[in-house]
Amino acid sequence: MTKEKDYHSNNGFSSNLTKILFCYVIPPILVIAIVVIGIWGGGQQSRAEEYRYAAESMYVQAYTELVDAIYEINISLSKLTVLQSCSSIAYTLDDIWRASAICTGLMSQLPQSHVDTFEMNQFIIRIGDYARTLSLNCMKGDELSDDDRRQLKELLAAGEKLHEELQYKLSEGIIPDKGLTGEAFYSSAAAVDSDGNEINEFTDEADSKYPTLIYDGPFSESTEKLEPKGLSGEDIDESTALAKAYEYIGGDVVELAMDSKSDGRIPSYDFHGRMADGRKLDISISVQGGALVWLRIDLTSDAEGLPGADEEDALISKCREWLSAHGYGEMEPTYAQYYSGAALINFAAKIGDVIIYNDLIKVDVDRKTQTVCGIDARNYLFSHTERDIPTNLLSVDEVQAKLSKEFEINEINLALIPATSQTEVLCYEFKGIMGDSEFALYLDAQSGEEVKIFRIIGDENGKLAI
Amino acid sequence: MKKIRNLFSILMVLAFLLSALLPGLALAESLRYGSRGAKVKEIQNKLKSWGYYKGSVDGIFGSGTQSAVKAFQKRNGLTADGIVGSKTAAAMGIKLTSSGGSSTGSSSGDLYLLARLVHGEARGEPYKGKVAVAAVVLNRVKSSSFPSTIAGVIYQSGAFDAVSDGQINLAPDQESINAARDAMNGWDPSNGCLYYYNPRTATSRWMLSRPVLLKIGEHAFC
Repeated sequence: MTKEKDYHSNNGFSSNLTKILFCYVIPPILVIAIVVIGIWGGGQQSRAEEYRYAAESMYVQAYTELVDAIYEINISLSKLTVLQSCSSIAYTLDDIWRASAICTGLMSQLPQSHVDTFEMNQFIIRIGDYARTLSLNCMKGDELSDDDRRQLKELLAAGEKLHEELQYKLSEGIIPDKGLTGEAFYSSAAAVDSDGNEINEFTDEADSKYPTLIYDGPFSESTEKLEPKGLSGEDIDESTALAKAYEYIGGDVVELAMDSKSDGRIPSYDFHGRMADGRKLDISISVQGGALVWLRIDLTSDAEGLPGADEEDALISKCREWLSAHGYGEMEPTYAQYYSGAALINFAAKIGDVIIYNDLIKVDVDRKTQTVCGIDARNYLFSHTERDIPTNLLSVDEVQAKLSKEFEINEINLALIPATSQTEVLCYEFKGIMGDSEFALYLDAQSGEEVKIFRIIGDENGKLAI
Repeated sequence: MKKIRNLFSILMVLAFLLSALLPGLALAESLRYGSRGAKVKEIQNKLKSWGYYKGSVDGIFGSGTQSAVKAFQKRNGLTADGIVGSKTAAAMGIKLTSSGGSSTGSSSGDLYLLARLVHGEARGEPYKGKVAVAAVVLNRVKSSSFPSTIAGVIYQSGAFDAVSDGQINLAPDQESINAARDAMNGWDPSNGCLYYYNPRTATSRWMLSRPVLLKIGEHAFC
């Protein structure tokens, strides 16, 4: 046999093999593959349907409960038109507050377009917030004012309209299914003009179908639009802000460059830079007056655990030095946390003997170098202003007599604390122990009423007031 | 030569068909690779919810589990040896020593959830950008236009892509945890913003019509 023949016979063999493969092997494999894929696909399809039904039933449940809870709010609002006595009014207002919280929770579960529903969310949260504010006033003995009664009636009218609309959608089976993806979350189902373009219908707030509520609560419009009170002076330009930033950071900074202008709640210039030893830093300087908004410098320390008394004192005195060097006046350390190598110490402003808790500056100190490496002055900038401290106070003894005899007092201060989102009240602060737990209790320095209580929780990172 | 090429292409077709069917087969036969028990189950559960592991949660450390562990390690910058040691366990949020589940207070639970969102939404962003994303969540909690809890805001249907595509279930790195903590302690580089988007990928007209107040990394805040 020649080699050529050899090759030919091999070739013949392989062509036979090809034939066998094409006729007898491949087709059955393909058929099996198609069947397997078909079965797999069918399984996937039915599983997808199962998930869809499960999700849909959750949405329908949430929607139904939402409609019920709004109905409950309306019933309570209507009762308030009749009620006159403070206790029953407070009780009914608390019902509204509770139902509003339920509604808010349910709304967050529905895959709705945020653009279409954030006003309804606002309406429902503010009903609850307003009811809570009124109820606290009622418990202090304040009667509902004519303005409040008028606002409650307006809320009832808007609430009834809303309920009717949602009830209709529910009965027609129009359950929101937009907003399952990020894209639909920010696109409106309703607002489309004749060319099919979305209309930004929320630029004009006067068009809102919900009444504007005037009150002082954490979610009220006036609170959400609060301006920083602590800023004064002229607007500064970028280069002046840069010079201010160098001033705040001190000598070790070698490089600082503009990041961007930040036009948020406190218009400011953001810079980033580098210290001489290579650590990175970020700093924000307000446009008005060039105040420090916040500062962050990388840490060098990796200290863990709580410090001893000596270390704590040293850290606090470094913070005090920094604060007074930068013109913040006298400030009092309140609570501290220790994590990631830093001590985060809260400092409150002081006027005479009175601690001003709203005027809060958070200071980060590196535990290794004991240098200030972070400042957060946003709270301070929002609230710091001239204040009139009341003088006709009850004596400490008179107020202390109202406390439980078992409450073991360690420390007493005068403190100005937030009463509502926009008002403050002067209190005696009693820090002490009840049983195994630590508390800070605040009593109105003029009336002696209990205003606020915090439980002080100590953990491996420090102390927190809850 | 032509025939040989034919033969080769036939083998390719076969290989392709097999590879289409293989994942199912590979999972059916799990090699018994040592460890068994509740901890293995816990690891399998975690890996499964993050999308690394597709097999059954049987408490047996097989090859499927091993390759899933390797994939997890690679993704999280750990040595991809397929062995769950202390570092990998920590990255997974699993305690190897204690038998009970880790007890976390509500606030540290919120911190971890926020850290997972930051990790899922802003992994490639500068640190300041990560804190800003966490701060937007906290600003929403305080806003009347959004749910009033951290979990409510994060899991609001459609609100965050990282929730929609499951990336929120990845174990957060230390930087994301620090960013979440810095935001919870008050640092707000977003300057009070309630929204952010990536201008290169955003399509919502409503979002794009809002005035941009600042930019950090790839994100525009408004």
